[in-house]
Amino acid sequence: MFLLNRRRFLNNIWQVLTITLISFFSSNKPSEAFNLFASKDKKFIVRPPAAIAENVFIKTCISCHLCGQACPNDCIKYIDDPFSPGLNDTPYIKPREKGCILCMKCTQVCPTGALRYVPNDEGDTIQKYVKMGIAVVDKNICKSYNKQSCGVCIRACPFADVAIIAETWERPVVINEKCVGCGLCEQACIHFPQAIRVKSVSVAHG
Amino acid sequence: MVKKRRIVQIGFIFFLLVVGFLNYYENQKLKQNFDRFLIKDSFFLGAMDKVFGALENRHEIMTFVQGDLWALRVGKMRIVDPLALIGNITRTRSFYLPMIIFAMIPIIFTIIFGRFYCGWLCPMGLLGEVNAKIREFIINSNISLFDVNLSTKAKYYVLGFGLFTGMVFGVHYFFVIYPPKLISYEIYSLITYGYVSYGFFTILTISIIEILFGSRLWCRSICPGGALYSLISKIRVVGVSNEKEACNACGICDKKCPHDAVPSGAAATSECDQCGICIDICPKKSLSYSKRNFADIFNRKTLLFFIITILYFNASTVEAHHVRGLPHYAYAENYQETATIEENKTQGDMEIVFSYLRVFKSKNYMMAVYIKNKITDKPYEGTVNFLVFGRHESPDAAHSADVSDPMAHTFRAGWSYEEDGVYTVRISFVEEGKKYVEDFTLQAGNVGFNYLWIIIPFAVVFFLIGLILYKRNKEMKLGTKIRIRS
Repeated sequence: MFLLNRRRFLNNIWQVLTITLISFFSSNKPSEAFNLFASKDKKFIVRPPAAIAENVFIKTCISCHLCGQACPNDCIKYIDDPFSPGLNDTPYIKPREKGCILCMKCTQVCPTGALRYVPNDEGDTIQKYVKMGIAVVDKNICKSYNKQSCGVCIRACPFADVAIIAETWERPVVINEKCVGCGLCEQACIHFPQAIRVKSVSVAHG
Repeated sequence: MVKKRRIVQIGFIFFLLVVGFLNYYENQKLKQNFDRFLIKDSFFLGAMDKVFGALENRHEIMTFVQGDLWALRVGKMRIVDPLALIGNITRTRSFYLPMIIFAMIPIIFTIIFGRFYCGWLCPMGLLGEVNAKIREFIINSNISLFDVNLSTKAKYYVLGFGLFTGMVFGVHYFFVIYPPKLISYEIYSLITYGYVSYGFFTILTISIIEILFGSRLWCRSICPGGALYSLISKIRVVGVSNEKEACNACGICDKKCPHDAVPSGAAATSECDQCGICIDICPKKSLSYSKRNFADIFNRKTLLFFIITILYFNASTVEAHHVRGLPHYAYAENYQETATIEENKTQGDMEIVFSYLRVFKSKNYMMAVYIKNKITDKPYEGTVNFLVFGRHESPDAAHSADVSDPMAHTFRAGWSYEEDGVYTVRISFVEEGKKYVEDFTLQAGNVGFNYLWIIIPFAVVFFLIGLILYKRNKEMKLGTKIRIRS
């Protein structure tokens, strides 16, 4: 019969603790297998600039809201869903409502390193650190691909002629290597639903 | 001492309010879009604008302090709650040096002054004392309430379990239940956005539980932050101590202590939050704050380290402020409404994207549907039927329209509503002989309040009442058995 007296109970606790401590110190990287809550929602979320990899980000962020308060553009929002504990209250950007203006303020106030420190907002520095996603053009609904000429996304892009190139009739072509995924093009798109939108890096390549 | 403490507590909440209002004003001032007129419309913001608007380095002054009690930014220096640090270390299994230094400041203060944060600064401490007063008032008016005596050790289990889940699952619950973070963020959110989030309901639940079940229940025996602070304050420098000569061992201080810290001993235990109630109440005036002996060396070194960290982080660089935006002819400037609500659904091979926008705060809605084949990436070109009906209407209602000849492969239909509420948009089309029907929701006007937020706190309270009644019932049965035996 399974008897659980005090000594055995303490012994069991000790065993569990040692196992977890060993796993804690043996692997420096967060293990994917235990990440139950975090991997529940695999939908792509646009994080603030210079964010570290998503599975590490949700563990590193302490949801202190400093990035949102430092943002002069009010574009950083917080996920309001208390029933998904890993994702709740973490910052995200909804480019259609407001794109990121790449001022790098949020990276300079982040206390945890969830957003890597970016020293300035020069073009080369931004290209080096920031990859929020990649803008993907839907040629079916884009006005410039459908017998009209628009070109708003090219004007809105902070890396115009580098990240987005205008073809004949101002047709936008995104250069995947240079696009940082700020989402200003998606905010500016005059068609609805938006013809250009920020997607994850894997989706854009595949 | 209690009066001084009350002034500090209320002053601290006032400080949070001022920080919130200054940041709100600055946010409004920096707005580029149509909501910049808010300053002119509002009386309060207009008055602030007259005082601060012409300042040369307005932005630096307005945003000198930012954040809440979970993570605060003062100038270029940041202060992080130690609970955030320790939770983060267990979750990420790595050490981020700047964050450790940011958290050193409250840790060093705790080493010097003990758990003073809980007693003197934390808004939950004030709220807990208010709750205790309300509870006293209810009991004095002859209404019997539950009386739960949770051990002070319970909070260490709350802390430990949170760290354990953080280590194993990568998720801890501290920022869902930690009151100073929630309260200070609710204050900020109420000022800037005008609404409260889940934190308000957590605080409401805690308050109801404290009033019904026991005074200072949260701070004494549940709060994980309090647990961490009292662990650190085991090596504190300043604490309440008792001069044995004057003491006549009346035991009044032990009874009045809300934290069971036993101030009548030589020195109070690490549970003490330096509230000073015992110092005020002592009839012989034998209790006082004083330096504890063993920590003479500790004192100077920690202070020096504290000053050096402040100097170091004030020397780091932060760029000047500027705002950039979209070209003036872009969407957000010319058309104030942007279609931001969108729903994607797939049926078979067909992917249907539905989005809508409200046209300039009128009762008209513009709906757009874009259908494409997921595999071939070809858009659908044909006829799409829109059917809109509310919850109070039958699906056979007359709001129906066939749309063909799409512009840029997007089918559009306008619709105006009479009543606020949730409506269903049924979209149907025929592709290669197969009929597709898909339902989408459209929220028109003010949809209402989610009643789950009221149900959850009361569910927790009723669960606890049931638990206590069950336990009491069991104890009574045991008591009868013992009586029979004796």
